[in-house]
Amino acid sequence: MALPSHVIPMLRVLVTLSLEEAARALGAFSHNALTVSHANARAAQLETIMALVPDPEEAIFGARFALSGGIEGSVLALFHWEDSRSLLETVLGGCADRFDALDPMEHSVLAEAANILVSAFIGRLELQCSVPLTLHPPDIAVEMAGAVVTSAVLPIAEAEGELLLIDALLAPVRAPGHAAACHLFFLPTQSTWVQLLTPFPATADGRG
Amino acid sequence: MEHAPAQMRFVGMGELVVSRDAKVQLACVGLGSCVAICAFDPQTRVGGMVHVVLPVAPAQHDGTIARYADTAVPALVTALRRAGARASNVRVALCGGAEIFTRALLSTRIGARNVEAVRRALAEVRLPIVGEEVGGEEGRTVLLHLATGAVHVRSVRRGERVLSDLGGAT
Repeated sequence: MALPSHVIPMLRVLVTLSLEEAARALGAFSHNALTVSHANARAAQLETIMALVPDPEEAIFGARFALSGGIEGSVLALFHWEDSRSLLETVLGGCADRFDALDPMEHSVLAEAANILVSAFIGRLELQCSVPLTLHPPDIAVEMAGAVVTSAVLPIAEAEGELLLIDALLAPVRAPGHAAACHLFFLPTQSTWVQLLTPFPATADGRG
Repeated sequence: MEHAPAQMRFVGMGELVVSRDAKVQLACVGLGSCVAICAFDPQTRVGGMVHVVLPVAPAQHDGTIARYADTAVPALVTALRRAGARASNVRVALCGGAEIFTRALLSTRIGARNVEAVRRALAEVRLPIVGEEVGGEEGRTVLLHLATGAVHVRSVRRGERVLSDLGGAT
């Protein structure tokens, strides 16, 4: 994959700005101020991505969004149980005691939270890169984390081999680095990721 | 008879593990569209597991032959033979191949294509599939107990159940 090492720091700065917008939006929805506690951009093999999943068997809420337009790919938002419960209690005043017992309303709230998060991220990215982006309605799953992540990543990995992975962790401001509010994986395709560099015209062609 | 507690050996994506250590359980955890091939020779008690990720190896790849169904199955047979198994005794169970996300825009049916490719490759080397739980929209963890050849599967909504007994009488 043609991902010059000097563009990695630029991508991190770029996506962190977009992620801050996303953290603000989700924080407002969940009445829980959030911060970007981790953001990274790297060329990654599928196995590297799976290593980011601490417990592949843990039940998790996943929302996968397809992205088209100037940049193609997918965005995956993941909520762990504790964070989902906290969000549901804030928004609905209570919730079921485990993922597989959530009712359609509770599912809908989590889907909306993912939608707010990812829409804010992509909206800001679109402004920064000045490229038109279309975010498609999400696929939702409450499943084992390993199954959710591989199923989101494989369609791109099969075509691309090595991937450009942008991964981020949002955490509550009052406990940064602890209870994650959500994970976000952004996987632009090889043929379109270079569009992310349009804010950096001097280096977009790789000449630094 | 008391069995010592089993040692869990996790089989990662694109990994192939063969063993004849009865204390070992082989496990593929959190399978989505990937497929786990569990193989066991009930006479020699040699067993193996492969975590297949994609159906067909590209013309040029990085040598991770166990990642692809078409190259993983011959590699499994070779590894089982080297460990002392007789290919004619080996029995197989399959697990995985789900489609967790089904929206058409990004759907490439990888789960179903993985299952088809694994079945085709197993037929070519004449390994019989005696049990399987594949497809659907469910994530799965699969365990092969090398002491007995028992294959267990578990999922979020249905808990743990027996998938197959590869060590039982044919």
